[in-house]
Amino acid sequence: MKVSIATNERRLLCQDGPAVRPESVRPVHANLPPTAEYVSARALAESATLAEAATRVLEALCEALGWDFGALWNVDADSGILTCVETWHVPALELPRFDAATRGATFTRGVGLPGRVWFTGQPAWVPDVVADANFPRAPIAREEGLHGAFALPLLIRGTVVGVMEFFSREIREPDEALLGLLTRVGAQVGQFMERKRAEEELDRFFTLSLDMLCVAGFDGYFKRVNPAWEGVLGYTRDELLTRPYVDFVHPDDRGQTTTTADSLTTGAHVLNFENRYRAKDGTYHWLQWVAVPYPSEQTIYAAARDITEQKEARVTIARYSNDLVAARQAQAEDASRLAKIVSELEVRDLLNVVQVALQTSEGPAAIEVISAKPTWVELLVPCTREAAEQIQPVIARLGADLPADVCESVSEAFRELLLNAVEWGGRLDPNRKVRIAFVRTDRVLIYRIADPGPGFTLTDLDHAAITHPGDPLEHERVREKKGLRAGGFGLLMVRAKVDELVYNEKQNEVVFMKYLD
Amino acid sequence: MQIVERSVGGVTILDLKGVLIEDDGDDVFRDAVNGLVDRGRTQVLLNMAEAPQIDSTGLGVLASKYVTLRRRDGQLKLCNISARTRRLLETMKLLKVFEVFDTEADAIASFGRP
Repeated sequence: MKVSIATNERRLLCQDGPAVRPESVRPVHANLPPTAEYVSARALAESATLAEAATRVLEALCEALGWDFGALWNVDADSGILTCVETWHVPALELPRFDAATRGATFTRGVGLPGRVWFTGQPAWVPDVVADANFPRAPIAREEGLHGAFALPLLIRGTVVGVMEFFSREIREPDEALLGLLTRVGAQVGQFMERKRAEEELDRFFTLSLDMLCVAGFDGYFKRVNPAWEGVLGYTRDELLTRPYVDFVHPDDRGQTTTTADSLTTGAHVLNFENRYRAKDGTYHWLQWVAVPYPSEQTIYAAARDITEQKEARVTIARYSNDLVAARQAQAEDASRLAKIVSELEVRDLLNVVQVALQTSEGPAAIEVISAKPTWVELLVPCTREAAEQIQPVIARLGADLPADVCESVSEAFRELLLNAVEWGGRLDPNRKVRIAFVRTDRVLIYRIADPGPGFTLTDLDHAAITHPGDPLEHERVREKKGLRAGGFGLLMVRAKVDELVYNEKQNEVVFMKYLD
Repeated sequence: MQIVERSVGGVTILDLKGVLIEDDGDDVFRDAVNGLVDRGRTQVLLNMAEAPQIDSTGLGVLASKYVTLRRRDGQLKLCNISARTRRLLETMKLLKVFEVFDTEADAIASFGRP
């Protein structure tokens, strides 16, 4: 007989054949349940993963309760099967086939010992699995000397999330005290599984997130970073965790970063904070942060996003925008300069007209310039035909960019009315002045001609064609009788060529308009 | 303004060269027609091919001389007028007064017709 010594609750075990508990060995569970429960809880608390916890719990329970082999099964609800998470057995025992069969097996509800427990939601005790009709691994159990078995469900709010099973080389009878203990342990493990599932789900998000997620301590060090950090900045996880995070921050941003971190320690939340982090290759990346503190844990949970390209795009857009504004400003200045030059040329033109008028006119006649802006011209013109003929082309040229028919119409109308004004209003007296004004807007041209005469009434105009609309020759006969020279078509012509023709009450001032749209 | 006088049969053709506006051509034209009337030549054709510009005074002189010639049983007709002059005549309703021809030949031929 080969005898091996197990662990703390040392038992003498037979390597093969039915288990024999020597009288000298204490019952394995009579006084151990509290220890088993404690050991299980500690194992769960110290484990990072379900697989690690499974190993430690199985080991702890097997050793505490004298079982030789343990397995933890996980319910895969999506697939509808149980899969083995981990196994453990007494190191001194050789159970290779049973261990491999367990690790490789899956069970549906009701099948095998784990499936049976899953189906009923109740613990199951099998005195000897070799003789059990619903135990597919029975042949292998027989070969490797396993007989007694116990399985319990791992429950979360009444739902089976896993199963633990234990095997012994002994044929064991049900033990109510042990059932109670293992039920409590099963609840512990079930809660652990639930928590680990949630954590693993969270870890998957944490690991797979394209954003840079981290947990930082109030001590200024990262506690945890996800793989995105390495992807963006190129540092290993260890490099990031072993230096104060402010070391990675651009020197110009450290002050604000420290201030922001301090505000987090007082419970403030941070949204859209931006700073620059130095990558391993020496370049800087703009990061935009959202951070929430947990003062009770002295930690900060934060997510950062690399917005370097956005920042660069914003800078580029701003530069282009500035360039565009500058270009428009330069264009406006050019246009303004051009307008000023044109205006100056027009002024010089008008001044030249005045000078020419002064040189060619006899006596004191002079053209007085009140305004010489291209859009507003106002002059005092002596009542001579010469002065009128000199001014008329300049006025016409102010509308030279207009359509030819418009330019022709207003030019002819202006000339007719100006000659009327100097002849009839000013009596061709060079000492008297006709005031003329020209205003141009985008929509209309406005001309005003005010003569110094006493005005007239329509009844005085029977020598004009406008008073004889039915006979275009009658006014000529009137003029002949009055001894007037031929003419008289002026007003009629103007009325036909402009859009508005308005005299003042005295009829010594006329305004005419030509619309441009 | 320059005026060249020609005769084709009983028709006197005046070729106007320049503008027919106030203080520039109106007096010359008036004197020319008055001279023809004095000589009994009252069938007058104005060839305005080279006088494209006319103003209200020019129109007045044309109308006035038309009246003068009609009183002498004469006629005053126009040919080769510019589009601008045609628009002006139309606006002043003078196209109903003057006979206007596109060519000199057509105009001369019209004088023989009653």
